[in-house]
Amino acid sequence: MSLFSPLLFPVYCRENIIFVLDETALPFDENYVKVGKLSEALDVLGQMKTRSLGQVLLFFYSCALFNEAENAYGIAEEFLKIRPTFDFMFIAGMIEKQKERGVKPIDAAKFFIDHFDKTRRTRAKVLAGQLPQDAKIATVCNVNGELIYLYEELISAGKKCEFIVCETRPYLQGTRLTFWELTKNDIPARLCCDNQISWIMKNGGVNCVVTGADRASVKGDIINKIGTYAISRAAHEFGIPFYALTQYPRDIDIDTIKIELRPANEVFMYIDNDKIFHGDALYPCFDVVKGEYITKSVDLNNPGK
Amino acid sequence: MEEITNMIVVWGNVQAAGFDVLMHEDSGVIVCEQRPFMYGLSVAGQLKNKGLKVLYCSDNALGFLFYNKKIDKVYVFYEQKKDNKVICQSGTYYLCLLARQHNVDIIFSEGINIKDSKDLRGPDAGSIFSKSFVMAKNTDKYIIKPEREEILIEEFRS
Repeated sequence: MSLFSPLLFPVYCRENIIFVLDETALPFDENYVKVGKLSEALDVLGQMKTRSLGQVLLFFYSCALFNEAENAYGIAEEFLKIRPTFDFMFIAGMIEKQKERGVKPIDAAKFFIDHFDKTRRTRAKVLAGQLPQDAKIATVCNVNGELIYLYEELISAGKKCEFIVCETRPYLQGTRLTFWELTKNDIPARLCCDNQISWIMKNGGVNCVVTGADRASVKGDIINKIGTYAISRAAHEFGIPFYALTQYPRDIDIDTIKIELRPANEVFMYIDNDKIFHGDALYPCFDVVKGEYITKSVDLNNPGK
Repeated sequence: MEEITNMIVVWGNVQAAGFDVLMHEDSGVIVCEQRPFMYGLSVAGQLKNKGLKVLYCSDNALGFLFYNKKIDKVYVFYEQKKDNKVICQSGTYYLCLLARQHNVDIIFSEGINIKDSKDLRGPDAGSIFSKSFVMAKNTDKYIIKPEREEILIEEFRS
């Protein structure tokens, strides 16, 4: 089996230019935006052209290529102005430590990508071992191709699976990214509106949930894409196990993290202007999910724990 | 976010009498888009025109709003009532479950009865209005169609 998604590696660097997969153009166009300076990196981040793993890779390469800031912490400050919920300072700390050891940021980036890919494969294998024999997996947003690894591991373990993908309004990352990459690889998947998931669970259409996590605490709490909280509560209601794919959990109070509020007009993404509501709107980008609603955090660096 | 307090969620296809009820509420109103039908766009506009303070959001933001204790009450405008059940549009159970889990009262009120419209195959998760976001062919196989949801009133009585 050889399955692939461009979302597995959404950002790469060649000859001092960063290439960023424009996730807002998917599934219709597979375009890469060229980034040659820090302001352009911040623009693609602000325009939601990349997120999740892409924003980490963009940050690594920005630290390697751009010298507008004195060090990685300075670049992190700029990234945080755009995306306050993500812990760029932690990644900056990793880069600065490597620099102290004489490792160049570009080499630190290459090491990170290689290590990340190997460990997420391991994580997928560990998780596959824990999912039901006939897994009906609800998911939200997008975990950069890791569901493809999970599918491969489930099949190799002799299990069957189907993904139930929540569309993830307003940016439709569930539809445009996850559902697209799964169906493109002929992986069984069905799509639903975000608000259908509780009814589907009530009627036995889901027997486990797998989501990503943008932030995680050592206490087991996470922050993930808007909609994750409602899914976790519905899963808890029906005794359905909820697995969060986490990385680098920190000793933090998750409720103190600032949740990014995106511009109100983004609530109306993909709706023609003549049909939208011209009034106040709210788009909180992320949800907090407390550990009591998470069956298990499958962490990148210690998936078997 | 601080200024958002004591809000009422309005869900369903509100009829004229429903608007009158809401006019007597002394609170701001949250209207969700209500995928895939997008009733929220119309309801939000009508409530705003009647002078209510309206905040619009996607359906999946409801969890965030309940978690942050922004919601005091929920109005569900159902399509039909049968004995101890109400028949509602797709997504109603999602809202009711969150409301119950956060100890928020739900008021079931009669909305527009679209029982004649048996065909729910029109809008679904694959598209918004006429724009499709699914590349796969034979989408009937891939998209979970919205269903009317039967809500047992007793299950959600405070």
